[in-house]
Amino acid sequence: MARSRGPSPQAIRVLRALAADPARWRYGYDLATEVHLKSGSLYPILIRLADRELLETSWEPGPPGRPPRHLYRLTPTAREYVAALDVARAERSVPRRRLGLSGA
Amino acid sequence: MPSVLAILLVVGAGPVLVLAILLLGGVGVVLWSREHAPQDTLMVGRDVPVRLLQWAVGLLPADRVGWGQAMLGELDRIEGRSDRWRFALGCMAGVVLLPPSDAVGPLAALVAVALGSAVVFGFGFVHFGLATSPWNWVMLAILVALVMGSIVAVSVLLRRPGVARLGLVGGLFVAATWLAFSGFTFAGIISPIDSVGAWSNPALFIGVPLVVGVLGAWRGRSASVGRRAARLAGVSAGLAMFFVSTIAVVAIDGGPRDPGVGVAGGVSEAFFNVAMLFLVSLPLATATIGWVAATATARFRYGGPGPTEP
Repeated sequence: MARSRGPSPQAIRVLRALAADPARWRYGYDLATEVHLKSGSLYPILIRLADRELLETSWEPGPPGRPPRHLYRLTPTAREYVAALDVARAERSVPRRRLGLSGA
Repeated sequence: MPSVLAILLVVGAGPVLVLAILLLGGVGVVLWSREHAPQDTLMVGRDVPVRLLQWAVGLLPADRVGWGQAMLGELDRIEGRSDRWRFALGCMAGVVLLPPSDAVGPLAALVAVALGSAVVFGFGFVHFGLATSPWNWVMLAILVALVMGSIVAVSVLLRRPGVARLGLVGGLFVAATWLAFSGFTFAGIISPIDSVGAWSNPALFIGVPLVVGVLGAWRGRSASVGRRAARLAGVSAGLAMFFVSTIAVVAIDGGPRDPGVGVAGGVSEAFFNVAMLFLVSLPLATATIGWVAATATARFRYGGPGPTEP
């Protein structure tokens, strides 16, 4: 039975980047550049997100003789998931701010 | 192949065994060249990062091949030599380290065995004061690289369909045979090839891998499954035997040693010998001879690579 763990900080960065414009299809390399992740970290994250049905994928046909490109965007479930992450983060940060524990 | 011969010579194999390995290796080269005639003309003109990534993508399981194509498609659009290298090497690391999706249990078990070896070795390293010699630190680095390489190899092989069960059962068979030849004594485990008699060398380095390769191809119904099962059997058996042998080394202070050699020197030498024997020689011999046996079995049984060749 697969364990259901929470997303890693890197996965959350990828989710937030995709959630910034949820309707837009994104390329892997652009995504890696934006969230400052190496390709070796990005693709395992994308694979896990797709396995959990948080990521929708599509292929963009390339010019003749060149391979197609893979495109990514969040599923509706993932958008709700990211919204829930934001709420949970806001709730956690409130007591920290009250105690003066915020890092800023 | 030369490295196998060199290692076998180092661990004391006789000339008959070396000749037998050469003969089997020659058969292997002939079989390989007949199955791998040059045909992929699309590879010509592609740069090294593409070739490396194509090789790594070939390690992905069937249900992940699309992700490999995604990486190749992205690499195709990246300009700049250093960016292409960075992207390709990153993807290769991601592919190689990607855990198998349906064989996590066996991988976790073998990682636990490797960690157990590390704990016992670490205890021996401290207990016998090996840290004082720079040579022992070099040995430690070699051992860490060998164990990590073995885990990566196991992780890649476990992803292949039909290989996990055959390879792990084969590994148990190989390890059990080596243990039987050791006489189940600590001294025998440290040097099992000397424990029984002159025939123990060919039996362990040729006979056992032949059985693994033949049965792997027979049960797996293809040459490639048999070859991969032989590789997995060799690496997993090597990890298991290394774990047992580190315990043996610590338990009997490295075993018999030459006159004038202290306990620390004897333990250090024994650690290095068992690492070379079980993390290099055993996996290489099992993989090489098993490769030949699996290929030949599929050819004789199916008249080609096999009906289920991927």
